[in-house]
Amino acid sequence: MINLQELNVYYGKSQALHDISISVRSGEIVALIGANGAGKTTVLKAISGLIPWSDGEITLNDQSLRGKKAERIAKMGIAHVPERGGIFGKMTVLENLEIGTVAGSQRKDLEQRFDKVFKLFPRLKERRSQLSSQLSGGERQMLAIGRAMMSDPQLYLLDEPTLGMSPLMVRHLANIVEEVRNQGGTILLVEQNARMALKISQRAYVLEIGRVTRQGASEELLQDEKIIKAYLGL
Amino acid sequence: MAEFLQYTTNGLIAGSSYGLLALAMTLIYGILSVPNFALGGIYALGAFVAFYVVQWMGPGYYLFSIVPAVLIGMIIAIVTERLVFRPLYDAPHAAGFIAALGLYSILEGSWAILFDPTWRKIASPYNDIVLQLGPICLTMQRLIILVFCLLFALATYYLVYRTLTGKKIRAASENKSVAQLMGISPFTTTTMTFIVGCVLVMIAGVLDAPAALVGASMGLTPITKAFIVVALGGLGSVPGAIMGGLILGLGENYGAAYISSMYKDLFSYGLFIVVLLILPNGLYRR
Ligand SMILES: Nc1ncnc2c1ncn2[C@@H]1O[C@H](COP(=O)(O)OP(=O)(O)O)[C@@H](O)[C@H]1O
Ligand SMILES: [Mg+2]
Repeated sequence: MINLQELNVYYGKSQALHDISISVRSGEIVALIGANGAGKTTVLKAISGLIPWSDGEITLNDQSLRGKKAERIAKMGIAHVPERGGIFGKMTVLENLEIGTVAGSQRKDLEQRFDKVFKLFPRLKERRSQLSSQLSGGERQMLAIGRAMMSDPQLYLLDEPTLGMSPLMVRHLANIVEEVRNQGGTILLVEQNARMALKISQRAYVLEIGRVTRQGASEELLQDEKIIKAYLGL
Repeated sequence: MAEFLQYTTNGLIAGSSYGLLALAMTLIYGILSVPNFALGGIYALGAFVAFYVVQWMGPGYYLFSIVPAVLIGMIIAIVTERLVFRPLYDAPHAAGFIAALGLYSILEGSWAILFDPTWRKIASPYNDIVLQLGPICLTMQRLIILVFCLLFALATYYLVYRTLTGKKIRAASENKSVAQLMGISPFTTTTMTFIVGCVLVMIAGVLDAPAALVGASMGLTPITKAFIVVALGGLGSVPGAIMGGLILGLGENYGAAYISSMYKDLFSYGLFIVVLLILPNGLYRR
């Protein structure tokens, strides 16, 4: 589905990503784990068109994303849920969800789409008319994922959905991510919480200072001593 | 009491016009973070449109001049956004601000050359109809200003809060890059916002023209006051602009009536300073 080939990304003169090659196949959850500052967010921003790149290649279903604007890429079916959700705090929960349909191909059956999201997030239904700025951190993250669902994207890019969450909320969000996959979603999941990410993903990449240093089946990485030491804190 | 009602009416009329201008200003401020003073020149153009429609077609066509004003407003919105503001999207906001002031000067100068720089009156048929509503006395023209300004303000409120276009505008105003991730084009949204703003200001120009003198520089004071209203109501806030406009109109008229009419403008600026001292974020926090 999505393919990154030897991608190099620069912020001015400083190089943030070095020869990154990553792929996600349809129906997979692929984890991208790494420490703070490793370049995980940069990978997602390059895919969704928020930062420019020229060296290397990114393709979605064999179609190049080179030079495309972020709003165009969103309409091609890539839903980037940014760090902390990026919800619109001055808009209500329902309005945020409605904005989520803009990237989709059609806006019919709006109510049905709301219901689908509310089924997964009953808490959002209770708060549908509230301003989103009044939501808790966990609820914001739910709203951000729900908003992404509204456009039926081909690929979800989730940037640390569990950042700063309680263990209970981490488990809840992990279930949600798996449920999104069960409903046909494909997910590139960026996490610092490596244990959770490796548990729910099929494959994973480890990013260190802008380079992919390990990759493979998540189950195997979960057994790897070095990774356990570096990221699982054991 | 009768006097008080009269001053209140006068204040609401002035305030509804300030509110409409402030609405235009606050929407554009919301999306660009630039106070677009060039709207003052566009307001004057609206008044000129009314002037020429009445001159060429007759006073009976005064209200019809809203139609060409809206069309011209759309065109001038697209042109000024493309040529003047779009090249500065990534520049510091100060650059946009200076460009707006420059554009205002160009517009005012152009109107002075095109329409010759004298002041003139419009013969609106509604200026001569005097209405006596209980203790309140006002011309039909001023009633039209009040009713139309409030109607267009409500329509704008509906557009911004109830339509998908309005929601896109609010989303892009709050966070441009997240809006892009939602498939919203910041360029298209900004153009839409400019269209709404310029159309509102053209309409305000048409409405105010018969109650004022029409001239190339007539827009500067109203647009400056509109900016005061925008700061008063909270930068970027739509309800704040409408409420702020009414408060400024009332404050000016009460001040002029009960303290001194010589200092009418002083009251607006004084009110502005007082509000900023007490509520630095305006009435409605963004
Ligand atoms: N806008 C930016 N300008 C310059 N450097 C940046 C910018 N954003 C991130 N970086 C740098 O790029 C590197 C990767 O950052 P990021 O992708 O945010 O890492 P992560 O998401 O893994 O924490 C870091 O060294 C960071 O300092
Ligand atoms: Mg990050």
